[in-house]
Amino acid sequence: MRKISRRETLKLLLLSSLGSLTSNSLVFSYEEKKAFQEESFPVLLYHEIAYEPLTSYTVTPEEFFSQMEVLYSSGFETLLPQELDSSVAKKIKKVMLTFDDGSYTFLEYAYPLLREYRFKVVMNVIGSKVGKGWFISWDEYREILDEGLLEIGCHSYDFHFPNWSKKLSLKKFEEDLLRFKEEAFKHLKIEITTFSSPFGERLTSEHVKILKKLGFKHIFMSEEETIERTYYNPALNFQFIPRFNLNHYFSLEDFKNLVMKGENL
Amino acid sequence: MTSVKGYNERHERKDKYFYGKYLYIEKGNPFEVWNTQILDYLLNYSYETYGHLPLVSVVNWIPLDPIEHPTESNIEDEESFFIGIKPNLKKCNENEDMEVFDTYKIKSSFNCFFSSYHVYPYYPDFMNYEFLTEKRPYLAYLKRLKEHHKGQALLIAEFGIPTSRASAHWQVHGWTHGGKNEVEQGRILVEMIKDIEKAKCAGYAIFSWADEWFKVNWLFMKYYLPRDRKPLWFNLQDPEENYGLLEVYPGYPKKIVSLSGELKEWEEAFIAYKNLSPLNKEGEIKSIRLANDEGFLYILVEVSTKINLKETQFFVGIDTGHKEYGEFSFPAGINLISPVGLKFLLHITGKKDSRLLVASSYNKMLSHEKFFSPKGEVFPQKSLAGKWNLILCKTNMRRVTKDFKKLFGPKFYNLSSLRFGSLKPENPDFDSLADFYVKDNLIEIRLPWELLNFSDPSSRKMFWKENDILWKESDGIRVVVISYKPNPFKPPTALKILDFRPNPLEKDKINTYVWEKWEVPSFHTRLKKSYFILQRYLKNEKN
Repeated sequence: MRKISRRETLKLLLLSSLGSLTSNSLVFSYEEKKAFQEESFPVLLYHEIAYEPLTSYTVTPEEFFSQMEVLYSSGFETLLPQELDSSVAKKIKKVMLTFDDGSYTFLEYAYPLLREYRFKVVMNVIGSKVGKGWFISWDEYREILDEGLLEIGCHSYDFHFPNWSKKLSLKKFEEDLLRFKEEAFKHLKIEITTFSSPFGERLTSEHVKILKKLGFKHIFMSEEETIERTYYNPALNFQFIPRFNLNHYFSLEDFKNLVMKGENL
Repeated sequence: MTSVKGYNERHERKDKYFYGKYLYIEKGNPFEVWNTQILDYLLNYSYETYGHLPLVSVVNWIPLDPIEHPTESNIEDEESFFIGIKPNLKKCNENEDMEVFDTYKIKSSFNCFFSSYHVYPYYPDFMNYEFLTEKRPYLAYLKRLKEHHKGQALLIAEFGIPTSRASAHWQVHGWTHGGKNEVEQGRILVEMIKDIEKAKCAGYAIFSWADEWFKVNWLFMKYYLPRDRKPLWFNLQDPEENYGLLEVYPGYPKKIVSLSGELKEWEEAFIAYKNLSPLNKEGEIKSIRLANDEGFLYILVEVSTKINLKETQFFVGIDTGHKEYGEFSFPAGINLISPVGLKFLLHITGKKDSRLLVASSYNKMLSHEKFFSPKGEVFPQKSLAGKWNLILCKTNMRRVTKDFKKLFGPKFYNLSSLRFGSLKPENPDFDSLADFYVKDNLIEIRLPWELLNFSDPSSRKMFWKENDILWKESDGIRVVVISYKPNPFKPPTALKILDFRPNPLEKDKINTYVWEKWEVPSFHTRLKKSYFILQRYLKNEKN
């Protein structure tokens, strides 16, 4: 792929921040569009897969099964954040699948299906809830980690509440992340390098500095509701990964438009 | 176990003693004492009537074994734990470890009593979770059992591995409750015999001699409607029907279709489509034929030229009844609309990755109870969205240890995965679980009725859960076939459609296959390859 100049990069950044790209040959050349096309892809965010309750964070099992079949039969391959640098990542038609929170519905409806498709997935875990009630336990994560399809990310140890960034000092923020990393290493013997901000709260530069200091390479973003379509382009911004929050308001047609548009920019 | 528990509680769980003429027991629970009394009576009767003192036993099974199982907690306590209610750790009536029937306590000064158990490797869950790090988990359990029965003869009165298409329980060693073909059955049985011998058991009895059509497994039993017609048809999916060393297979005197690429087997089949003037183009569909027996729907796709699945792939859409219902769109970039509502879709792409999809609204396995709120209705709803699902069944629930400190995740089995192979034992591609076979220009497909959501094929009933009804009678089967060139850069998408039938895709161009109902099934038998594997092993052992 040819090197993109600074001027071209700014154009692309402007357009990606507007959200949905429209075909605009007056602004972009064919090469620029092609470059963006090859590099941008959708990153999907799920929470609960369940019939009830139906909320902004729920996708029904039927919908999830149908969506994954669309991805498979449309030729999509999945990748994990740790694979973004690989040469294979540049060649495939790709999507990144992520889950937040660690709900047990992942084990009941999502992971059994994902492993049949050999789809990889990131699960951003709330450390303090692991193993409690209907949250997945460390034992259960350990059972499936060996299959090589799952990456564990941090969704806080214990600051999963609204406006946490205003209520939590930077010191507590750092301590909490350290605690998560220690717990994850103790139970799973893995280093955590991915962070997802609870409730999609925006991070300040101080937060980002701490994350970098603690070895987090990728930061997942999300909106509470999907306002703009934002496709991820690692060539433009490696560290911050925007995501589409899926819920049961999305029809399968919406889903197809979402994932295909990431390819047909 | 509930009956045993109920009996012991009715008798206040008081330790009792019994000294009979031939058997005695000390400090037995009420159920243990009752059994001793019955057996002693039996011995008395036999000797007084016939002058013969036989060996006696009572068949026990491992949920009643006298061993503590720390991984086997009470289901009600588990559910409380999962929803955040702190369980009562002092309660000790665990569902699969709730009672003990300790036959070691039954003594005989005449040496006419021995203990016997049914021991399968995959159930209950403690057979997995207490032996996760063992190289031979089955042997590890048998050793523990035999240790408890030291000095007493211990017979493994029942063990086996079914040759069903579906697996109903996961097992850590791969000795699952189904999902094994007959060669795998034979090999696993040999390994189990070795373990039984190593554990110094007195002997064993393999379950079973023959397949049994009347038996039902927990995964499928609620879909057999009406239940009393189940013996009239065979379900290859159901583990309980498939334990035999002797295959009891539909059709007489032999299989109507053997998945061996022999067009002559299809001469009597129903012709859904026939091209009278083929042009011999790549992927051109020459004929589509349907047949059935008491266990399966068979589909033949005959193509004009030799099939190379790397160059030509296929969708076979199946409408199992009521054509206005179902999914009308295809996946993988196929921009066609089916003229009839499809309930199932075969995607033939190769030996290893071919699969059967189900229309999302008709995916009955997603409505399986035991977790949150299951789907209320399961019937094929009209859709143009292309909502296709894989079919997964849940084999093991989430479990937690008795001390609630360790959890084990649920397990699932993929029913959508299609196996390539032939049903002819002498064919090098022989696989008793084969779903499809491709040879020259023929694709032959064999699908169990139950996999296609039929509740009773003998009376053409399809599972249909809507409002108060649970089934509907099918008005017949219709098939749509598409051949396409796959995109080598974006598998499994289609690059180009090669052919489709009916052409044009119109309702009145499709022929409907309405099969004969039956009241008396036909069947024939065949010794499975597992029989010969066992025969060779036992012969070598003897020598």
